[in-house]
Amino acid sequence: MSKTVGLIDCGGGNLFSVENTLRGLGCDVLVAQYPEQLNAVDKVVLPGVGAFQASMAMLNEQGFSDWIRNYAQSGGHLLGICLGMQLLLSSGQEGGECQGLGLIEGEVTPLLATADCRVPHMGWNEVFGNAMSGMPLFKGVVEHSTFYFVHSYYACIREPIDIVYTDYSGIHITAAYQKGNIFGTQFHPEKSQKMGVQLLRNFIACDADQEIC
Amino acid sequence: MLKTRVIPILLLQGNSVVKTVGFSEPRVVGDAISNVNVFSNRMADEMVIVDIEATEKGRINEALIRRLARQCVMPLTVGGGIQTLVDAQALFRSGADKVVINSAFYKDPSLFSQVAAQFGRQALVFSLDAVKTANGYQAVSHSGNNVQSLSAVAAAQLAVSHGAGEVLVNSIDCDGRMEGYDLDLVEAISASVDVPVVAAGGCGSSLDCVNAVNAGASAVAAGSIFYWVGESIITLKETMANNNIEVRLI
Repeated sequence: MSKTVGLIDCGGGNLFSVENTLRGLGCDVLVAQYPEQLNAVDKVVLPGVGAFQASMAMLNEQGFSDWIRNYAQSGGHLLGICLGMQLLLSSGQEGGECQGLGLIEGEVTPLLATADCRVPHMGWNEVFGNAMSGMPLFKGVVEHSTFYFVHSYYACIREPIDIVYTDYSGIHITAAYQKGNIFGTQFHPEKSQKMGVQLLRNFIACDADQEIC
Repeated sequence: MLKTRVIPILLLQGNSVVKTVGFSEPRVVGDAISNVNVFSNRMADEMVIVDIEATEKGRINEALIRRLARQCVMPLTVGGGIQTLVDAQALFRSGADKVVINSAFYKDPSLFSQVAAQFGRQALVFSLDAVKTANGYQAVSHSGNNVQSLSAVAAAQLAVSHGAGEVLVNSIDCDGRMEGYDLDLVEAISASVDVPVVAAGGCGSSLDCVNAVNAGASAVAAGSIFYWVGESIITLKETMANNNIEVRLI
Protein backbone atom coordinates (compact mmCIF):
# COMPACT_ATOMS: atom_id res chain seq x y z
CA MET A 1 0.00 0.00 0.00
CA SER A 2 1.36 3.39 -0.87
CA LYS A 3 2.28 5.69 1.96
CA THR A 4 1.00 9.19 2.40
CA VAL A 5 3.62 11.82 3.07
CA GLY A 6 2.66 15.20 4.43
CA LEU A 7 4.75 18.01 3.02
CA ILE A 8 4.68 21.17 5.11
CA ASP A 9 4.41 24.33 3.05
CA CYS A 10 5.68 27.25 5.04
CA GLY A 11 5.78 29.59 2.07
CA GLY A 12 9.50 29.67 1.38
CA GLY A 13 10.55 27.69 -1.51
CA ASN A 14 10.60 24.95 -3.91
CA LEU A 15 8.36 22.10 -2.78
CA PHE A 16 8.14 20.95 -6.36
CA SER A 17 11.22 18.74 -6.40
CA VAL A 18 10.56 17.10 -3.05
CA GLU A 19 7.00 16.39 -4.09
CA ASN A 20 8.08 15.17 -7.51
CA THR A 21 10.68 12.78 -6.09
CA LEU A 22 8.33 11.39 -3.43
CA ARG A 23 5.65 10.77 -6.04
CA GLY A 24 8.27 9.05 -8.15
CA LEU A 25 8.77 6.66 -5.22
CA GLY A 26 5.08 5.80 -5.30
CA CYS A 27 3.97 7.96 -2.36
CA ASP A 28 0.83 9.99 -2.11
CA VAL A 29 1.89 13.50 -1.23
CA LEU A 30 -0.25 15.92 0.69
CA VAL A 31 1.01 19.49 0.59
CA ALA A 32 -0.28 21.15 3.73
CA GLN A 33 -0.71 24.83 4.50
CA TYR A 34 -2.47 24.00 7.78
CA PRO A 35 -1.89 21.22 10.33
CA GLU A 36 -5.50 19.98 10.07
CA GLN A 37 -4.61 18.74 6.58
CA LEU A 38 -2.05 16.34 8.05
CA ASN A 39 -4.29 14.10 10.12
CA ALA A 40 -4.04 11.02 7.96
CA VAL A 41 -0.37 10.95 6.96
CA ASP A 42 2.24 8.22 7.53
CA LYS A 43 5.29 10.49 7.39
CA VAL A 44 5.98 14.19 7.48
CA VAL A 45 8.65 16.13 5.59
CA LEU A 46 9.57 19.66 6.61
CA PRO A 47 11.47 21.11 3.67
CA GLY A 48 12.77 24.60 3.82
CA VAL A 49 14.22 27.33 1.76
CA GLY A 50 14.51 30.84 3.05
CA ALA A 51 15.56 32.31 6.35
CA PHE A 52 15.24 30.73 9.81
CA GLN A 53 13.34 33.55 11.48
CA ALA A 54 10.88 34.09 8.63
CA SER A 55 10.15 30.36 8.42
CA MET A 56 9.62 30.04 12.18
CA ALA A 57 7.21 32.97 12.03
CA MET A 58 5.25 31.17 9.31
CA LEU A 59 5.24 27.87 11.22
CA ASN A 60 3.96 29.63 14.34
CA GLU A 61 1.38 31.62 12.45
CA GLN A 62 0.00 28.60 10.60
CA GLY A 63 -0.11 26.56 13.79
CA PHE A 64 2.51 24.06 12.65
CA SER A 65 4.98 24.52 15.50
CA ASP A 66 2.92 22.82 18.19
CA TRP A 67 1.63 20.29 15.72
CA ILE A 68 5.16 19.25 14.64
CA ARG A 69 6.33 18.97 18.28
CA ASN A 70 3.35 16.79 19.21
CA TYR A 71 3.73 14.68 16.10
CA ALA A 72 7.44 14.05 16.70
CA GLN A 73 7.05 13.49 20.43
CA SER A 74 4.33 10.92 19.85
CA GLY A 75 6.67 8.93 17.57
CA GLY A 76 5.71 10.18 14.11
CA HIS A 77 8.45 9.99 11.48
CA LEU A 78 9.67 13.44 10.64
CA LEU A 79 12.34 14.44 8.10
CA GLY A 80 13.68 17.99 8.01
CA ILE A 81 15.51 18.97 4.83
CA CYS A 82 18.03 21.84 4.67
CA LEU A 83 16.45 24.75 6.57
CA GLY A 84 13.84 22.23 7.73
CA MET A 85 16.50 20.25 9.60
CA GLN A 86 17.79 23.45 11.15
CA LEU A 87 14.34 24.54 12.32
CA LEU A 88 14.13 21.43 14.52
CA LEU A 89 16.99 22.75 16.69
CA SER A 90 16.71 24.96 19.78
CA SER A 91 17.60 28.24 18.13
CA GLY A 92 18.92 30.02 15.06
CA GLN A 93 20.51 33.33 14.16
CA GLU A 94 19.50 33.86 10.53
CA GLY A 95 17.39 37.00 10.37
CA GLY A 96 17.97 37.64 14.10
CA GLU A 97 18.21 35.42 17.21
CA CYS A 98 15.18 33.17 17.17
CA GLN A 99 13.76 30.11 18.96
CA GLY A 100 13.49 26.95 16.88
CA LEU A 101 11.17 23.99 17.34
CA GLY A 102 13.45 22.64 20.08
CA LEU A 103 13.25 18.95 19.18
CA ILE A 104 17.05 18.71 18.90
CA GLU A 105 19.36 20.48 21.32
CA GLY A 106 21.66 22.83 19.51
CA GLU A 107 22.08 26.08 17.65
CA VAL A 108 22.20 27.13 14.02
CA THR A 109 25.13 29.44 13.38
CA PRO A 110 26.53 31.21 10.31
CA LEU A 111 29.32 29.84 8.16
CA LEU A 112 31.95 32.55 8.02
CA ALA A 113 33.35 33.27 4.59
CA THR A 114 37.11 33.13 4.09
CA ALA A 115 39.31 32.99 1.03
CA ASP A 116 38.99 29.18 0.87
CA CYS A 117 35.49 28.99 2.16
CA ARG A 118 32.99 30.81 0.04
CA VAL A 119 29.52 31.14 1.48
CA PRO A 120 26.99 29.74 0.67
CA HIS A 121 28.52 26.26 0.85
CA MET A 122 27.16 25.24 -2.53
CA GLY A 123 27.61 22.02 -4.43
CA TRP A 124 28.28 18.32 -4.04
CA ASN A 125 30.14 17.17 -0.99
CA GLU A 126 31.00 13.84 0.62
CA VAL A 127 29.38 12.60 3.81
CA PHE A 128 31.06 10.49 6.48
CA GLY A 129 30.80 9.46 10.11
CA ASN A 130 30.91 6.40 12.36
CA ALA A 131 27.17 6.54 12.90
CA MET A 132 26.37 6.30 9.21
CA SER A 133 26.43 2.54 8.79
CA GLY A 134 23.85 2.05 11.53
CA MET A 135 21.40 4.71 10.40
CA PRO A 136 18.29 3.52 8.52
CA LEU A 137 18.38 6.67 6.38
CA PHE A 138 21.73 5.63 4.90
CA LYS A 139 20.91 2.01 4.17
CA GLY A 140 22.55 1.21 0.83
CA VAL A 141 24.45 4.50 0.82
CA VAL A 142 28.20 4.03 1.15
CA GLU A 143 30.38 6.38 3.15
CA HIS A 144 31.83 9.23 1.05
CA SER A 145 28.85 9.29 -1.26
CA THR A 146 28.17 12.84 -2.43
CA PHE A 147 25.05 14.90 -1.84
CA TYR A 148 24.03 18.38 -2.91
CA PHE A 149 24.42 21.11 -0.29
CA VAL A 150 23.42 24.72 -0.44
CA HIS A 151 23.41 26.69 2.80
CA SER A 152 24.99 29.61 4.65
CA TYR A 153 24.22 28.46 8.22
CA TYR A 154 24.89 25.13 9.88
CA ALA A 155 23.63 23.07 12.78
CA CYS A 156 25.78 22.70 15.91
CA ILE A 157 24.20 19.85 17.83
CA ARG A 158 24.62 19.67 21.62
CA GLU A 159 23.29 16.24 22.44
CA PRO A 160 24.63 12.75 21.76
CA ILE A 161 22.61 11.66 18.76
CA ASP A 162 23.67 9.97 15.52
CA ILE A 163 25.38 12.51 13.28
CA VAL A 164 26.85 12.32 9.79
CA TYR A 165 29.27 15.03 8.72
CA THR A 166 30.65 16.74 5.68
CA ASP A 167 33.90 18.68 5.45
CA TYR A 168 33.97 22.18 4.05
CA SER A 169 37.42 23.75 4.11
CA GLY A 170 38.27 21.90 7.29
CA ILE A 171 35.01 22.67 9.08
CA HIS A 172 33.01 19.59 10.01
CA ILE A 173 29.42 20.43 9.25
CA THR A 174 26.43 18.36 10.35
CA ALA A 175 25.23 16.77 7.12
CA ALA A 176 22.50 14.59 8.66
CA TYR A 177 21.22 13.47 12.03
CA GLN A 178 18.84 11.02 13.60
CA LYS A 179 17.24 11.13 17.02
CA GLY A 180 14.85 8.20 17.17
CA ASN A 181 11.99 9.03 14.85
CA ILE A 182 13.36 12.48 14.00
CA PHE A 183 15.61 12.77 10.93
CA GLY A 184 17.36 15.71 9.35
CA THR A 185 19.56 16.32 6.33
CA GLN A 186 21.42 19.54 5.61
CA PHE A 187 21.80 18.44 2.00
CA HIS A 188 18.95 18.12 -0.47
CA PRO A 189 18.22 14.43 -1.11
CA GLU A 190 15.63 15.43 -3.71
CA LYS A 191 18.43 17.07 -5.72
CA SER A 192 21.08 14.44 -5.12
CA GLN A 193 20.38 12.03 -7.95
CA LYS A 194 20.60 8.30 -7.23
CA MET A 195 21.85 8.39 -3.62
CA GLY A 196 19.39 11.11 -2.68
CA VAL A 197 16.50 9.11 -4.03
CA GLN A 198 17.78 6.09 -2.09
CA LEU A 199 17.80 8.13 1.12
CA LEU A 200 14.21 9.27 0.60
CA ARG A 201 13.23 5.69 -0.20
CA ASN A 202 14.78 4.65 3.12
CA PHE A 203 12.85 7.31 4.99
CA ILE A 204 9.60 6.14 3.40
CA ALA A 205 10.40 2.51 4.15
CA CYS A 206 10.94 2.98 7.91
CA ASP A 207 7.96 1.33 9.53
CA ALA A 208 5.99 3.70 11.71
CA ASP A 209 5.10 1.00 14.24
CA GLN A 210 8.63 -0.21 14.56
CA GLU A 211 11.18 0.95 17.10
CA ILE A 212 13.98 2.31 14.94
CA CYS A 213 16.73 3.53 17.17
CA MET B 1 35.76 18.09 0.31
CA LEU B 2 33.49 20.18 -1.87
CA LYS B 3 33.51 19.11 -5.51
CA THR B 4 33.98 21.57 -8.33
CA ARG B 5 30.77 21.66 -10.30
CA VAL B 6 30.43 21.24 -14.07
CA ILE B 7 27.23 22.89 -15.23
CA PRO B 8 25.65 22.71 -18.67
CA ILE B 9 23.89 25.90 -19.72
CA LEU B 10 20.89 25.49 -21.99
CA LEU B 11 19.59 28.50 -23.87
CA LEU B 12 15.94 28.21 -24.80
CA GLN B 13 14.16 29.73 -27.72
CA GLY B 14 10.62 28.44 -27.60
CA ASN B 15 10.90 24.71 -26.91
CA SER B 16 14.27 24.43 -28.60
CA VAL B 17 17.76 24.58 -27.18
CA VAL B 18 19.95 27.00 -29.11
CA LYS B 19 23.59 28.05 -29.06
CA THR B 20 24.82 31.56 -29.69
CA VAL B 21 28.11 33.18 -30.66
CA GLY B 22 28.78 36.54 -29.00
CA PHE B 23 25.18 36.40 -27.74
CA SER B 24 23.80 36.37 -31.30
CA GLU B 25 23.26 33.97 -34.22
CA PRO B 26 21.22 31.42 -32.25
CA ARG B 27 21.42 27.96 -33.83
CA VAL B 28 19.03 25.20 -32.82
CA VAL B 29 20.84 22.24 -31.26
CA GLY B 30 17.97 20.16 -29.96
CA ASP B 31 14.78 19.78 -28.05
CA ALA B 32 14.64 21.06 -24.48
CA ILE B 33 13.16 17.99 -22.80
CA SER B 34 15.55 15.53 -24.42
CA ASN B 35 18.53 17.77 -23.61
CA VAL B 36 17.62 17.92 -19.95
CA ASN B 37 17.21 14.15 -19.90
CA VAL B 38 20.62 13.56 -21.41
CA PHE B 39 22.42 15.89 -19.00
CA SER B 40 20.49 14.45 -16.08
CA ASN B 41 21.55 10.92 -17.03
CA ARG B 42 25.16 11.94 -17.57
CA MET B 43 25.26 13.27 -14.03
CA ALA B 44 25.73 16.96 -14.58
CA ASP B 45 26.19 18.61 -11.19
CA GLU B 46 23.56 21.24 -11.85
CA MET B 47 21.78 22.70 -14.82
CA VAL B 48 21.14 26.28 -15.88
CA ILE B 49 18.31 27.05 -18.29
CA VAL B 50 17.87 30.52 -19.71
CA ASP B 51 15.03 31.62 -21.98
CA ILE B 52 16.81 34.11 -24.23
CA GLU B 53 13.61 35.60 -25.64
CA ALA B 54 11.75 35.99 -22.38
CA THR B 55 12.79 39.57 -21.57
CA GLU B 56 12.01 40.74 -25.08
CA LYS B 57 8.66 38.95 -25.21
CA GLY B 58 7.76 39.72 -21.61
CA ARG B 59 6.80 36.19 -20.69
CA ILE B 60 8.05 33.27 -18.68
CA ASN B 61 7.18 29.83 -19.92
CA GLU B 62 6.13 28.24 -16.64
CA ALA B 63 4.60 25.17 -18.26
CA LEU B 64 7.84 24.27 -20.04
CA ILE B 65 9.94 24.89 -16.93
CA ARG B 66 7.64 22.59 -14.98
CA ARG B 67 8.09 19.84 -17.56
CA LEU B 68 11.86 20.28 -17.51
CA ALA B 69 12.01 20.34 -13.71
CA ARG B 70 10.23 16.97 -13.61
CA GLN B 71 13.15 15.39 -15.49
CA CYS B 72 15.76 16.90 -13.29
CA VAL B 73 16.92 15.21 -10.04
CA MET B 74 19.61 17.84 -9.67
CA PRO B 75 19.62 21.52 -8.90
CA LEU B 76 17.96 23.59 -11.58
CA THR B 77 18.63 27.28 -12.11
CA VAL B 78 16.21 29.13 -14.34
CA GLY B 79 16.44 32.58 -15.86
CA GLY B 80 15.17 34.86 -18.57
CA GLY B 81 12.52 37.53 -18.29
CA ILE B 82 12.44 37.90 -14.53
CA GLN B 83 11.40 41.48 -13.79
CA THR B 84 9.66 41.23 -10.43
CA LEU B 85 9.41 39.17 -7.26
CA VAL B 86 6.20 37.69 -8.65
CA ASP B 87 8.07 36.42 -11.73
CA ALA B 88 10.65 34.78 -9.48
CA GLN B 89 7.92 33.24 -7.33
CA ALA B 90 6.34 31.73 -10.44
CA LEU B 91 9.62 30.08 -11.41
CA PHE B 92 10.24 28.68 -7.92
CA ARG B 93 6.71 27.32 -7.95
CA SER B 94 7.42 25.69 -11.31
CA GLY B 95 10.42 23.81 -9.95
CA ALA B 96 13.37 26.18 -10.10
CA ASP B 97 15.81 25.84 -7.21
CA LYS B 98 17.53 29.07 -8.07
CA VAL B 99 16.70 31.96 -10.33
CA VAL B 100 19.29 33.77 -12.39
CA ILE B 101 18.73 37.47 -13.09
CA ASN B 102 20.57 39.92 -15.30
CA SER B 103 18.75 42.91 -16.85
CA ALA B 104 16.24 43.58 -14.06
CA PHE B 105 19.03 43.97 -11.52
CA TYR B 106 20.35 47.14 -13.19
CA LYS B 107 16.89 48.68 -13.30
CA ASP B 108 16.20 47.99 -9.63
CA PRO B 109 18.80 46.30 -7.42
CA SER B 110 16.25 46.10 -4.58
CA LEU B 111 14.65 43.23 -6.53
CA PHE B 112 17.60 41.16 -5.26
CA SER B 113 16.93 42.05 -1.64
CA GLN B 114 13.29 41.02 -2.08
CA VAL B 115 14.10 37.67 -3.70
CA ALA B 116 16.84 36.91 -1.14
CA ALA B 117 14.59 37.79 1.79
CA GLN B 118 11.88 35.42 0.65
CA PHE B 119 13.86 32.54 -0.86
CA GLY B 120 17.29 32.94 0.69
CA ARG B 121 20.41 34.21 -1.02
CA GLN B 122 21.43 30.70 -2.02
CA ALA B 123 18.48 30.76 -4.43
CA LEU B 124 19.56 33.92 -6.23
CA VAL B 125 22.21 33.92 -8.94
CA PHE B 126 23.47 37.13 -10.50
CA SER B 127 24.10 36.69 -14.19
CA LEU B 128 26.97 39.05 -14.86
CA ASP B 129 27.46 39.56 -18.58
CA ALA B 130 30.67 41.43 -19.22
CA VAL B 131 32.39 42.95 -22.21
CA LYS B 132 36.01 44.04 -22.50
CA THR B 133 36.46 47.74 -23.24
CA ALA B 134 39.39 50.16 -23.33
CA ASN B 135 38.53 50.97 -19.69
CA GLY B 136 38.39 47.38 -18.48
CA TYR B 137 35.48 45.00 -18.11
CA GLN B 138 32.05 46.63 -18.18
CA ALA B 139 28.75 45.07 -17.11
CA VAL B 140 26.22 44.58 -19.90
CA SER B 141 22.50 43.86 -19.85
CA HIS B 142 19.68 42.94 -22.24
CA SER B 143 21.45 40.02 -23.94
CA GLY B 144 24.57 42.06 -24.43
CA ASN B 145 22.87 45.07 -25.97
CA ASN B 146 23.12 47.67 -23.18
CA VAL B 147 26.50 48.54 -21.75
CA GLN B 148 26.03 49.65 -18.13
CA SER B 149 27.91 52.42 -16.37
CA LEU B 150 29.16 49.90 -13.77
CA SER B 151 32.36 47.98 -14.14
CA ALA B 152 31.93 44.21 -14.01
CA VAL B 153 33.60 44.07 -10.59
CA ALA B 154 31.41 46.86 -9.20
CA ALA B 155 28.29 45.14 -10.55
CA ALA B 156 29.28 41.84 -8.93
CA GLN B 157 29.91 43.48 -5.58
CA LEU B 158 26.68 45.46 -5.73
CA ALA B 159 24.69 42.34 -6.59
CA VAL B 160 26.22 40.38 -3.71
CA SER B 161 25.59 43.23 -1.29
CA HIS B 162 21.92 43.14 -2.35
CA GLY B 163 21.64 39.42 -1.72
CA ALA B 164 23.02 37.41 -4.64
CA GLY B 165 24.41 34.10 -3.39
CA GLU B 166 26.35 33.24 -6.52
CA VAL B 167 27.72 35.02 -9.58
CA LEU B 168 27.58 33.48 -13.05
CA VAL B 169 30.13 35.48 -14.99
CA ASN B 170 29.79 35.31 -18.72
CA SER B 171 32.16 36.90 -21.20
CA ILE B 172 30.33 38.15 -24.27
CA ASP B 173 33.61 38.38 -26.16
CA CYS B 174 34.26 34.68 -25.59
CA ASP B 175 30.68 33.34 -25.80
CA GLY B 176 30.39 30.45 -28.24
CA ARG B 177 33.92 30.89 -29.61
CA MET B 178 35.30 27.87 -27.78
CA GLU B 179 38.71 29.48 -27.37
CA GLY B 180 38.74 29.39 -23.60
CA TYR B 181 37.18 31.39 -20.78
CA ASP B 182 38.25 34.97 -20.21
CA LEU B 183 40.56 34.11 -17.35
CA ASP B 184 41.35 37.69 -16.37
CA LEU B 185 37.64 38.34 -16.00
CA VAL B 186 37.10 35.15 -13.98
CA GLU B 187 40.02 36.05 -11.74
CA ALA B 188 38.88 39.64 -11.22
CA ILE B 189 35.35 38.65 -10.26
CA SER B 190 36.40 35.70 -8.07
CA ALA B 191 38.76 37.96 -6.14
CA SER B 192 36.13 40.64 -5.60
CA VAL B 193 33.32 38.63 -3.95
CA ASP B 194 33.16 35.83 -1.37
CA VAL B 195 30.22 33.94 -2.85
CA PRO B 196 30.77 31.13 -5.37
CA VAL B 197 31.63 32.30 -8.89
CA VAL B 198 30.70 30.23 -11.94
CA ALA B 199 32.77 30.79 -15.09
CA ALA B 200 30.84 30.83 -18.37
CA GLY B 201 31.52 31.76 -21.97
CA GLY B 202 34.21 30.26 -24.15
CA CYS B 203 34.83 26.73 -22.92
CA GLY B 204 36.30 24.80 -25.84
CA SER B 205 38.39 22.10 -24.22
CA SER B 206 38.60 20.27 -20.94
CA LEU B 207 41.78 22.18 -20.09
CA ASP B 208 39.82 25.43 -20.27
CA CYS B 209 37.85 24.18 -17.26
CA VAL B 210 41.07 23.50 -15.38
CA ASN B 211 42.31 27.01 -16.16
CA ALA B 212 39.06 28.63 -15.01
CA VAL B 213 39.21 26.81 -11.67
CA ASN B 214 42.83 27.81 -11.23
CA ALA B 215 41.79 31.41 -11.91
CA GLY B 216 39.40 31.20 -8.96
CA ALA B 217 36.10 29.84 -10.31
CA SER B 218 34.08 27.63 -7.94
CA ALA B 219 32.32 25.99 -10.86
CA VAL B 220 32.47 25.92 -14.64
CA ALA B 221 29.57 26.26 -17.03
CA ALA B 222 29.60 25.35 -20.69
CA GLY B 223 27.32 24.94 -23.66
CA SER B 224 28.94 24.64 -27.08
CA ILE B 225 31.51 22.07 -26.01
CA PHE B 226 28.77 19.50 -25.40
CA TYR B 227 27.28 20.03 -28.86
CA TRP B 228 30.12 20.61 -31.30
CA VAL B 229 33.21 18.69 -30.21
CA GLY B 230 31.98 15.52 -28.57
CA GLU B 231 33.22 16.30 -25.08
CA SER B 232 30.91 15.29 -22.26
CA ILE B 233 30.49 16.11 -18.59
CA ILE B 234 32.46 12.96 -17.88
CA THR B 235 35.43 13.72 -20.14
CA LEU B 236 35.69 17.24 -18.73
CA LYS B 237 35.68 15.90 -15.20
CA GLU B 238 38.33 13.29 -15.99
CA THR B 239 40.71 15.99 -17.17
CA MET B 240 39.91 18.12 -14.13
CA ALA B 241 40.56 15.17 -11.81
CA ASN B 242 43.87 14.50 -13.55
CA ASN B 243 44.80 18.09 -12.78
CA ASN B 244 44.11 17.70 -9.07
CA ILE B 245 40.70 19.32 -9.05
CA GLU B 246 38.12 17.60 -6.86
CA VAL B 247 35.16 16.61 -8.98
CA ARG B 248 32.28 14.20 -8.58
CA LEU B 249 33.18 11.15 -10.64
CA ILE B 250 30.81 8.30 -11.18
